[in-house]
Amino acid sequence: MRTLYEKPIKYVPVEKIALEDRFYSIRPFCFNAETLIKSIKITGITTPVILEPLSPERLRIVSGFRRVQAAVEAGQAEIPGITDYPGGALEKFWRIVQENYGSQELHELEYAEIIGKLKELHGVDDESLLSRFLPQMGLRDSRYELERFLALAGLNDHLKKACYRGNLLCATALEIRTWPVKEQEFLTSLVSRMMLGTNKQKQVVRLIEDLKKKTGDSLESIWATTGLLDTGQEELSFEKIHGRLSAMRYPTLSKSQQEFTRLKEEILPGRRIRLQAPRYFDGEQLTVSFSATDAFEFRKKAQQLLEASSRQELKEMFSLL
Amino acid sequence: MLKYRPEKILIEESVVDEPMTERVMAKLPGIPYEKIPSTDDLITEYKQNAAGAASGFTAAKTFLLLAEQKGNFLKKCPGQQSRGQSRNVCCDYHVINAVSNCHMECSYCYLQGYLNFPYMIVYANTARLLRELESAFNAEPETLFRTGTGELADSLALDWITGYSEILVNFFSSQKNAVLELKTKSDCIENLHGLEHNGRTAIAWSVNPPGIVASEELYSATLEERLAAAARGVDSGYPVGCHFDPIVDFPGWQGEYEKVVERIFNSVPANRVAWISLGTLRTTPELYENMRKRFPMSPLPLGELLPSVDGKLRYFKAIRWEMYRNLIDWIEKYGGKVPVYLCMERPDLWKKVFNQEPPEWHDINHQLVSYMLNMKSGK
Repeated sequence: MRTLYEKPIKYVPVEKIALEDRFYSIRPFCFNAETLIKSIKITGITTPVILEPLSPERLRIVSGFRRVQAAVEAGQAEIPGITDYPGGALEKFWRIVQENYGSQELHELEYAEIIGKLKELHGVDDESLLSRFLPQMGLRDSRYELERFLALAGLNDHLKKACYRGNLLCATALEIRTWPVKEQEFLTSLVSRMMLGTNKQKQVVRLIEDLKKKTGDSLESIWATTGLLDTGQEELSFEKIHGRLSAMRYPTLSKSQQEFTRLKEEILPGRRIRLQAPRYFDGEQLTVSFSATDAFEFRKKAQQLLEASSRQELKEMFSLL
Repeated sequence: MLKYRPEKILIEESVVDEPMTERVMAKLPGIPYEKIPSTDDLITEYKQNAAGAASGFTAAKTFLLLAEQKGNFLKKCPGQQSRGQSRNVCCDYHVINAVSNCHMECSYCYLQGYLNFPYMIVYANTARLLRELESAFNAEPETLFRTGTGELADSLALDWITGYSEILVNFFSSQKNAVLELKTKSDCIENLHGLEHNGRTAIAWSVNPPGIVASEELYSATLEERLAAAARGVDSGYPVGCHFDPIVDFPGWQGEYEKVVERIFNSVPANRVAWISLGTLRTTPELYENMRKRFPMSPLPLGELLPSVDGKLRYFKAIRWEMYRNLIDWIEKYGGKVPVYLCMERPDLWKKVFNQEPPEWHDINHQLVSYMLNMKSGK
């Protein structure tokens, strides 16, 4: 049997190629083709793409989506292609996947795209996906993984682009996939501007998601309640956002924290003597700490503590625990 | 309530000839079944394919596995096992693991984060169970054992298939230092009528306001059904118990929980209530995520659940204190002096709630068992 590159290569006019047909594509989008475009302008396409007849006058791309897109943008009129690639649709698709998988690291969304197409377009059942296709791509053959990838495959274009560009975690995208698109865009923009890493993204999204569910309010309304609408870009920080959202999410805790802070300021203003409640007030002890550079300072702070010990405010602080 | 019917029965080779197996098969005619050499391959397959997937946990429940309990049937309550680290006040409860998993779907159920193999399992080597219990109780004649079958399962949800209640009630009726609690969200107490329980078995119901039962305790009996069953239990002379667990924080909880307390004491006389336990909603971080995944519409994860010292998520302490104090006041208002204890709470909160130092764990157990045994029989 002839190998792929022994097959006759034809030069196909670009207008005969159905550029919008992504039946065989494993990438949700094509980005960053500038280098390829420059190269094609100089040398043309050096590796033929693989095409198959869609109708008597039109061909669809089987392999080489980026090259074709780049060639079009480079102003090429014709593209070298192989048009009699053997095998049925599933066989071709899987061969292309294996070639890609073997030569490069695939993005989570690319795995999702592949798995989604295997199921939806090629009719592969879940058992086969679990027993054959996922393991061959080096993925865990678990139902959890399968469900996750299928959910990723079902994301809308905005979220896919945000994930593909690295602005949004795939896990975050899954959390917000049912939000209105405008809210998804707002969050993506926020996450991107703040350059929030994995943990911080998770924390912010979880807080917003919970507030949306709890209050039934839109993200816009919640954001307005945080008081951060008028905060300038430079002043906006993760700590500020997290603090405001947490206060709304945990109002009783927040009230206790504010009361504790107020009482503390009454009896021991400033930061020279630290008085700490247990984390989330889950405990019965206050922790006191201070530093002193000499005996005089030590005595002075001890005196302040002694005075604070008889204050009503201190009793109220203990009653918060 | 929805009675459980499996889609398939799997029978481990070692229990094929057990009387329990025969009984279960007789109760489920027409259900396809398969004999398997052991459960090891099943467990491996489940862990590989379905573990972690929301659909996997639910799908596993459609299989009923009749198996041999190879470990101990009798164990200390898991809350007790964490006592050393968490310093929670404990009631020294013991659990009998004769059945594992539950077909009801309570959104907060800890089993969805605890069981790594969620098939419905009935351990059919019953003779060994009774020998083990006998041996354990005889080995510590000075200890009062309060034991229950409702930790890894609902005590009575599968009883129409297994009849385990008859076996255990009869066994415990002659025990000198042990009592049995059958804890349930069902109203399946038919097997219990007419048994000579000798006052050594209590039937207890988990209770919640009707709205919470409907939205968060799927396939379970309604509160009305549970209380009607409790009244029937009392008529048969059983002491009864109530478990407000989990107590859920939601708008209007005060009014709703007070109504539940009132309805309890309208349904059963206070002098037939052996104990009431109180425990607010608590989850492990893993369970919390499972809840959100499996029950995305449930409002329970939206409460002010915060990390505690023992690693669990609980309501903010002030909220818990308010819930406990209110419930204790209502219990006293409608039922008088009924033994009340908190489940899995720290000593400092216990002290705040009861205005006294918490008893030692064996004292709590002793008080509860003694109270139950001294209750005048309803018969």
